[in-house]
Amino acid sequence: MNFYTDEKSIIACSTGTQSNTAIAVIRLSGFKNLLDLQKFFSFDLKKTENRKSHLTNIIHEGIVFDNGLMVYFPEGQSYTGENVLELSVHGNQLNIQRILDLFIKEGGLRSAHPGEFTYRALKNKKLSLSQVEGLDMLLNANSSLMLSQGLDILQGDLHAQYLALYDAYLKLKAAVEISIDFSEDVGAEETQKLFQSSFDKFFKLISSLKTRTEGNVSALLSPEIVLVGQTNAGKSSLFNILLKHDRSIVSNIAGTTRDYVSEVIHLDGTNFKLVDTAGIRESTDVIENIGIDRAMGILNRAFYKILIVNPFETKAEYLKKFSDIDFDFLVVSHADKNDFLEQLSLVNFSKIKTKFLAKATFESGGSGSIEPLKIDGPMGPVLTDFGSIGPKNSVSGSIEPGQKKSGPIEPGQKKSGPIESVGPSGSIELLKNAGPIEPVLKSNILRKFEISTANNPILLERHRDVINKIYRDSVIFNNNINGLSDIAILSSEVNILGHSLTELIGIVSPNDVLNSIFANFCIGK
Amino acid sequence: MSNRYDILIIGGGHAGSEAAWISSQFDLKVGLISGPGASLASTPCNPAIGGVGKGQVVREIDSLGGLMGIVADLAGIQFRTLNESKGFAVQSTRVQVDKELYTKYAEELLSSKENLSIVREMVKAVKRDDGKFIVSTESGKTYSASKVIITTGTFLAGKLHTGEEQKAGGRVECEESVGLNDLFSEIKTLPNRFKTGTPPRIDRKTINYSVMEPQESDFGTRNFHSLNESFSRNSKQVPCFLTRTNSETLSIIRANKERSPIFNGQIKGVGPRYCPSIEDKAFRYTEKDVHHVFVEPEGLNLETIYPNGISTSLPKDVQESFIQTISGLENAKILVHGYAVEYDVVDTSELSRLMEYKDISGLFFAGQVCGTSGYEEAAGQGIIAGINASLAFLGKEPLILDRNDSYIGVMIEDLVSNKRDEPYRLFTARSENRLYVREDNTILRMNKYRKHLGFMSKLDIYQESILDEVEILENLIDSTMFYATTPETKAYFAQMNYGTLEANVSFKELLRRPTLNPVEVLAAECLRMGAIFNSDVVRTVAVAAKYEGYIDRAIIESEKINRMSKKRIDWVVLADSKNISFECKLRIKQIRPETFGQLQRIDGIRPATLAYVAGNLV
Repeated sequence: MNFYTDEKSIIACSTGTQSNTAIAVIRLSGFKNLLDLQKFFSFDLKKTENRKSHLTNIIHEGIVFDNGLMVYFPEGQSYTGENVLELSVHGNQLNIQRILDLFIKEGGLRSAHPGEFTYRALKNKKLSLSQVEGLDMLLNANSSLMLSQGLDILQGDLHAQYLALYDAYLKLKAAVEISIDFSEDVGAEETQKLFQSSFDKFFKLISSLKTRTEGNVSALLSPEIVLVGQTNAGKSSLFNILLKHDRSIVSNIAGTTRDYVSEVIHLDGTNFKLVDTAGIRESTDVIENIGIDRAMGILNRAFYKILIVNPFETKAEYLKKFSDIDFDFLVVSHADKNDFLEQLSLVNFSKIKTKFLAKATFESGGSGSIEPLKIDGPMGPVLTDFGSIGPKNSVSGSIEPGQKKSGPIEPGQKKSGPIESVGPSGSIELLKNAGPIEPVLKSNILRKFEISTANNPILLERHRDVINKIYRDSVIFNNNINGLSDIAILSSEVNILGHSLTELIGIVSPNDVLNSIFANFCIGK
Repeated sequence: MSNRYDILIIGGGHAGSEAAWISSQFDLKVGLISGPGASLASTPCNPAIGGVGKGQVVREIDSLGGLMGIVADLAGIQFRTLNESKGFAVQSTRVQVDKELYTKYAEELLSSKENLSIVREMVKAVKRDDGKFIVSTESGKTYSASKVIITTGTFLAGKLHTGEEQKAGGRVECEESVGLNDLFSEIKTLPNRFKTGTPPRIDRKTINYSVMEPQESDFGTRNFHSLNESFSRNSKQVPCFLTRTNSETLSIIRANKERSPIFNGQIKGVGPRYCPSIEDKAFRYTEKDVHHVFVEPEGLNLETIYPNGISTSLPKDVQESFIQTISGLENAKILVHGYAVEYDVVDTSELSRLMEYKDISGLFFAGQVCGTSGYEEAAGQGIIAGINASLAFLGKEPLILDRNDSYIGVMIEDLVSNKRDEPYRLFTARSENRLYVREDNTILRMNKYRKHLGFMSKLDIYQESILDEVEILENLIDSTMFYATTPETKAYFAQMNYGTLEANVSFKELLRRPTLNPVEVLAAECLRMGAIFNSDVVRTVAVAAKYEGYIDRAIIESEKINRMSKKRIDWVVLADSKNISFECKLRIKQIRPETFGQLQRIDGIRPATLAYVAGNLV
């Protein structure tokens, strides 16, 4: 990307150019001297106070373009690290464009590329790479989870945890160095103790970060609720019930929904993408088979998976297709029909795994009701009422080295045997056992989302990868501590840990290590 | 005129002696000027040579043809292998020496060189004159030389402190030299003076050894000098003893804070963090009262012992009272009180990697005057300064040691790429290549440098023979396989406790088995095959096999970093950047780093600055 090496001053409207607003903020960055811009302002720029706002006209050659406020942030004290001028002007789109053009044509500035202000901040180390990633998440968040984590990475808890990990690493490295260079001074026993305790502390931190990378986190980034079922099972009806208005064309002609349809539904601060897949069925239609493959792909990465089965039209081969999928909800439709139970007993559910099971009746007009269902005969793991999956914040306590603790149920995680309450207390908060479909299903989806996000998962893939790498190396290191007395080899392993840490946090300088040694330990015979 | 020399060395400590010794081997006319009262190659502080990292330096010096290993072997009265249980790569040799014998042997060896004159005079001034240096002394004599090596240790404007008492001097009972700035007005010194200290010496007869832990000499520790028999001893071996301070000791020291020159502002010099005085320990680590005290004899016939770990500049009465709280020292009588010394230090960022002053061709510096501490560090610089002064005199290519294969290389690069703000000591932690820069493979690492000197002595022939043997043994290992299909081999593995033999095992794989000692295994296998190898060769080949994979991996990792390190940076731009802190910019302006690696090695450069620069390089 060539523009990134360009040192020109840049300009952009930071508040969007899609619609007229009362106020718009235009930002200029990278100019050498504020006074060079005097010709554009009625305010005497020599009187500018840093980071204070001043009222000014924006002028050029005697023509007043607008009247607004300007704030000057000098080099080193600004967002980008360069000289920055922020202009608050009237937010009419034409007005904004006229002002941008003025600075570009008459001031020699260049229109900023998307993200260029932040890129410059990164380049000038006003932000770390992690923080830029956090900012990106904050600006592009589509859930409150992303919003809060974006802020966290930028300045909050996660950033602090990374720094704490760095600190623990420095102490660990210092302990290794002490063991080699100063064990006579400090004493062999104390050296060993120091080494073990500093490793334990490091491992505790990386383990707690690691638990936040577990599970299908990418499914949480833009969570999808996916409906699958045989043609005419009632997917579109259920879709419309959840959406609360008609979207899919619903008819009783098999194959009405050829491809999948999606809509966004907003549940408690989070946007979920609701997807109605093409009818997965036995078909000789090539196009439709492609649709089925795509449906399976969508299903695999989905956050919440709903299977709808019409017991009157279900083939055994059809259900077999889903033997690898863990469904969140299995809805057996057409419960109002007379021979429902009889038909149900003919369906072979033995390949289906689901957390919840219910029978449903869809009514015209976009509503329906739902009731618990018990199925006789073989079936995959199932929970037959609508019990809660467990209280919120079910993850507690820290994980010790070598100890594996099972977290809450995550999407895609295989469970053998019937699913029970997962919370440590074992308490089950019961929902109404029957009622309208929409609130029952939505509250179930939200509960799953709450549980999945209870351990505050780390959403950025790059961070998860590095954290997992550090964790894996730490486990190897831990095994080596126990099985190996050769500190020289351990020291080499510690360095390798350091390289991974560098990717997450920044540069580990040798002086940091020596300073840590001297600040924390008494050295010297 | 007899006062004309090719190379003149000012100062007869470890750096000066080493420089004189190696220079004289080039058949040059060498002069060593030392103060009239001061003994050569003296050990005024801890009477020991070697230690973790430092043992490697002594062997590196020895491989280059130096003096220190030879003298330490002769004067050694207790030999130890440090870190013995911690893996071969971090093992180091330390030898407790008889300080009288050490000086005696050093003087004998230096005097044996006909082309080396030892001049006993106090130097007053050094001037430049038409491409030569003129050295004048207090007695009014002048000496000229085309190369001068300054190795004046702590003697430049030295000042001694014992409590409130202060006097000029470089060490106890020795006069100080004039300040470095007077000596040579063009030389830049660091604005801060350095400080070092030494403990009181105790009358050996007043010590109760029975309550202390003895530490006997280790007869399995190899001599430093490669041409010596591995385990022969020249001097009688005696033990050292270990005792500890206690809360009473520390409370006496803490009660006298205002009388401590370090803490009441009397001493302004910066002391080494890694070698703190007992006052430093008392006030910096307030929760810790128990500190090791090693009771070390200063010589077989000397009345003094050196209590290692309690260096102090407290007033004499405080020294006496805290010493007597230590177990075994209840009746201890102090013969010489502890003191601190403050001295001028040359700014080593003005030196090249040849140890030559960048702006004054032919002028070299080495040793504690460069801000290092330790006899070994001094000697390591001394031999490099001596070699490069000689090579320059002869018009030959200089010798530069790489930091990747020697601790001397690490030290010199650290020194010249930095302004020091505390005395410099080598730690193994300073090397990026610790698994490779070991004692056992010193000849393998250093032979190419020794060859550069162009000598053909007994040492050179010996090194060649070691290299040959290593190659033969390595080939033997590479071509040996243990076959799981042979029942006799299986039985043999069981008999030797080599572990199981499920599939075929190469010799190297056997040596790498974590539960086995590779040196013992290789020695046993050589014996079985009737192959006779030098025990040093067996050791280095076995250890190299053990670490090979780790070394390779470390090299890959460090190459990743090296790529970054080698990237060029523009210090002028950095020194002007608004995004770098004022302190960092000052450092950058002083050192003028040309690569990212150099920038990274500057003390006090903040991670934020490194990250900023790194961000702009990619």
